[in-house]
Amino acid sequence: MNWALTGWVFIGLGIVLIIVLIWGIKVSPAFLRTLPFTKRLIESRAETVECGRYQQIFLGDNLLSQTYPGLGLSALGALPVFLDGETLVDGNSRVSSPSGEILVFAQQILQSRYQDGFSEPLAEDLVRIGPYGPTPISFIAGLLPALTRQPYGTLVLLGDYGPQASLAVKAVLDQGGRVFAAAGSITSQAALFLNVRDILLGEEVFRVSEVMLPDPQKTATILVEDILRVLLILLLVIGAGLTMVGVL
Amino acid sequence: MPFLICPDCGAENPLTAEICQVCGASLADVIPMDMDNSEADDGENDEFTLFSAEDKDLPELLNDLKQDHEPAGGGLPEIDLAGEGESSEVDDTPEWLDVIRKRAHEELDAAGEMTQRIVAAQESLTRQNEEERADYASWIEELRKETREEAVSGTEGQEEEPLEGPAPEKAKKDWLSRVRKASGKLETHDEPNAASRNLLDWLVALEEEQTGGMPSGEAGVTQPVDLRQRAHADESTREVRVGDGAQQAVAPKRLDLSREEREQADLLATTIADESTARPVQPITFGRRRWWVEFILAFFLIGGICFVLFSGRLFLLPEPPVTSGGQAVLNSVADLPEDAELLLVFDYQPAFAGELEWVAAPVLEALPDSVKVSVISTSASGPLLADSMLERLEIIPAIDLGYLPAEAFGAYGLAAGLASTQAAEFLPKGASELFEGEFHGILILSDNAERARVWVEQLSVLTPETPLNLLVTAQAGPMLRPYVDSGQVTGMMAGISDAAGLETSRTQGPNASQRWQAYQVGLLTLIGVLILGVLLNLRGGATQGDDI
Amino acid sequence: MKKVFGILTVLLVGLTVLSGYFFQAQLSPVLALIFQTGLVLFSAAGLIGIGYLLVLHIRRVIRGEKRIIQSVVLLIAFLIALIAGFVLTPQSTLYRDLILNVQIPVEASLLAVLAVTLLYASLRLIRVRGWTPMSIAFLGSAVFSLVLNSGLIQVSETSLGGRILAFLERLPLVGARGILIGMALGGLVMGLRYLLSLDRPYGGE
Repeated sequence: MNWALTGWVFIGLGIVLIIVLIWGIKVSPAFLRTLPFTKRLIESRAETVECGRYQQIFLGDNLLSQTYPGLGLSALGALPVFLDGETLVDGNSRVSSPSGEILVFAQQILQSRYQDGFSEPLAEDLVRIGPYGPTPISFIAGLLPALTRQPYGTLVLLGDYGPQASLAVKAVLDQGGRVFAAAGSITSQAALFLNVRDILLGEEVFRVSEVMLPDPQKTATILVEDILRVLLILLLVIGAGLTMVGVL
Repeated sequence: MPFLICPDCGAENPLTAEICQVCGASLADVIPMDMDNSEADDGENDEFTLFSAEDKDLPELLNDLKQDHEPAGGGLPEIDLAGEGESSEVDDTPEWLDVIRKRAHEELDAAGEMTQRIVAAQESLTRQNEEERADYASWIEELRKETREEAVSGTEGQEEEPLEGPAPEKAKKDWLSRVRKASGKLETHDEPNAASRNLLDWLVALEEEQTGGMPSGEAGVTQPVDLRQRAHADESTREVRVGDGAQQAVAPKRLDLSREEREQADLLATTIADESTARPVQPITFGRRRWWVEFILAFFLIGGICFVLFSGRLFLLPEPPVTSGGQAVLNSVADLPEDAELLLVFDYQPAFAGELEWVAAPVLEALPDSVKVSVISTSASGPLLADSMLERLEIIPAIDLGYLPAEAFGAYGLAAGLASTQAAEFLPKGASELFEGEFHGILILSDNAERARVWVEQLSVLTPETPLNLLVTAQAGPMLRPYVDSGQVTGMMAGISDAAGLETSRTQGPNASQRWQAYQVGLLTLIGVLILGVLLNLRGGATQGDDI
Repeated sequence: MKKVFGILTVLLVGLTVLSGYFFQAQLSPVLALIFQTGLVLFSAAGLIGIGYLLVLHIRRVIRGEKRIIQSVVLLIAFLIALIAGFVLTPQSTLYRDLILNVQIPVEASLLAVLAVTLLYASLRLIRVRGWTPMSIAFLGSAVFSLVLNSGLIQVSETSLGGRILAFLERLPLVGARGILIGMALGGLVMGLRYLLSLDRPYGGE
């Protein structure tokens, strides 16, 4: 038994638990922990739409990341939550990322939200998707003027990104907007912690879609995550103890 | 057969009942009434009624009439307030209402026993405590009670009112105004049929019509008949209350609401009442951007650094230490054998070029001349950056492995043994030569702890014997320290603080020390600002709204 | 049908890559094909990203929107870099200087602005977050790290003071590791959700 196999055990356990908790045992919604982040985000988005201001949804710098493998997918998974009917009709929303792969998926998601009748040439006010730059820092360089060109009320940061996102945060805060960050990397969490009140850290960054639009399947996966976390903690503590006494 | 009449809903209950079978109210103090019920009224048992179904008096009469003369549309009848009480108005009143009046006039004492029951019910009601009822239905009941008492006190001592006699307008108006006020500014309109829009308005309108437009009473009629109708929720039955000014009306059926429904109804009533209230528009409060604070901070930070850098003076600040990590890297490089092959991995963005050149310079300058350097880049600008740095340091790479898109490729492709199989043919040139090459040392220049970690984890599996050294920025260093502690990495120089000691010890010139002191001034400025922030907010805490 | 095809593709590819960890020799040709296809797709997507950017700025120029001068400069710079790359090749010193002498100062300036932004934000940390254990711990560890890095405190690494300092220096790493473990678990569950087709935002749902 080596550490790689331990990882596989966790993966297998995760699969089994998900299957059992989704199609077997019914999970109580009480397991879904509510976050104040959610309520404030909903309020901010409503206020932004009502005031005729803009929303910016940033999906991260990378779809795939070695260290944070699920962040890009998590951002894409959360995107439909932000493309509700009000936002689609209002049209004052922008979805952006420097990564072409993310943009392709995002465009597909957006089109599916608009469903039949989606026709960019015919519709003036649409949610727009696009990059402001091809690399992380050039993206921020391109995003900053865009943030000051229109009044932005809400900035949502998802996915894997670096501390340079603080510049975008400041640009939105300066005009009275609000920022909501599911902070990606460790460095961005540290940088954004300073001036973003509504920030998700750690594994909470994966829960944006779950807390915004809860459903039994997502609640079940949250419970699976909690179970695996507890198991891992026990494993770490027991392993550390055994190492201390010389067994391992 | 005696019955217990419920004080709340007026339903008949057997003598043995302790609580009302319809509404559940307590029947503890209720005096039994002896009613002469001759007929049962089928279908009325579950409905609110004060009267037995067998009674031949008004309720059955009404039921019969209802069946015969029920208005087509159901609901509250349209009340035409515009009429003057002439024949046209009579024509406008519902037919069933006319029939009722007629029969009430014709049949003597038609309301006699019914009146007794009403009195009994009223007595029961008056015995009830005056506690405030939260629900809407009981609030209406209270209102009706008050208005009846007013009407009683207002008409006391007067002769019987002719049907068409003018009611005291002032009393009616006062009653009306009180009802309107108590109902939360419900507005009644003057246009015809407007009063049928809601129950209360309808009652008010009916009251007005009765006092203003009713035909004169016929001989023998000692009591004005005050007819009110109220549609039940399901519109299946109507209850007719008969009474005069001196007598209390029949208590309406209590509307059973759950607590949640009551709260919702109250909320709706409050919202409707509050809808037209003037409110000030709250302006959006933008945080005041204190640009001058940012300017001062930038001035001190950049100004201080520039001053130290260009002043040519050395200040009384500690010399940079020579760290063990830096020394380990230097030793590893210096110990390379003759004609050794060294792999340089360039994995940083142009933004960090300055810092990494400063970090890498002491190490690369210490390379023996015989060492053959191979260069590979995993960032898009990497080849250009590598070329620029090596040219400045006068190092000519022997092999340029080009650009490897490591992130898209995935760590799996690098280290899962793919190279050892036939599938290795598809690998990019850099990756395949990476596997084929035998390096005596690997130096990774990175600005990102995550990407550096991937290299460490994969290379330590692929080539565990090859010394691996890291030259990274200050932001990446802390997260890579465990790899140094665990021995997977031979040495690491993280940031200017590690590099400056080596540089100062090697170059022996003021330039290196000045750069180090400029860096120190920058750090001291940061420390000062943090402490200042704490001091300025010692008494306060988080503020709402102003987020800048 | 389209939905089913997408789900099947995700399942097959994901399970094949996972299985390839155990059956490398048997699955290597398939894995090679998957990786090759994936590389091409990612590269194409990268080009699409650049294409998006160009189309955005071209549209802005054509429509004559406000501040099109920025878009014009961007398009001209892009064309110069592209043409120079083909004509001069990346190995050319001129090309290298042309690109790096623009890119390095621009990006370094952004980082300098970031430094000032973070400086200002650190001034207002307590005002934004209040006196919470997190903010106090953050402040304390930030000041400590800065002091250590500035060289104001210099002790021998083998002495007791050096060991205490090394211990304190590694404490934040413990927290960072915890965060990374949590994120790894979240990533694992997220991946399983996509593998089991519980999440299909791209599938038109």
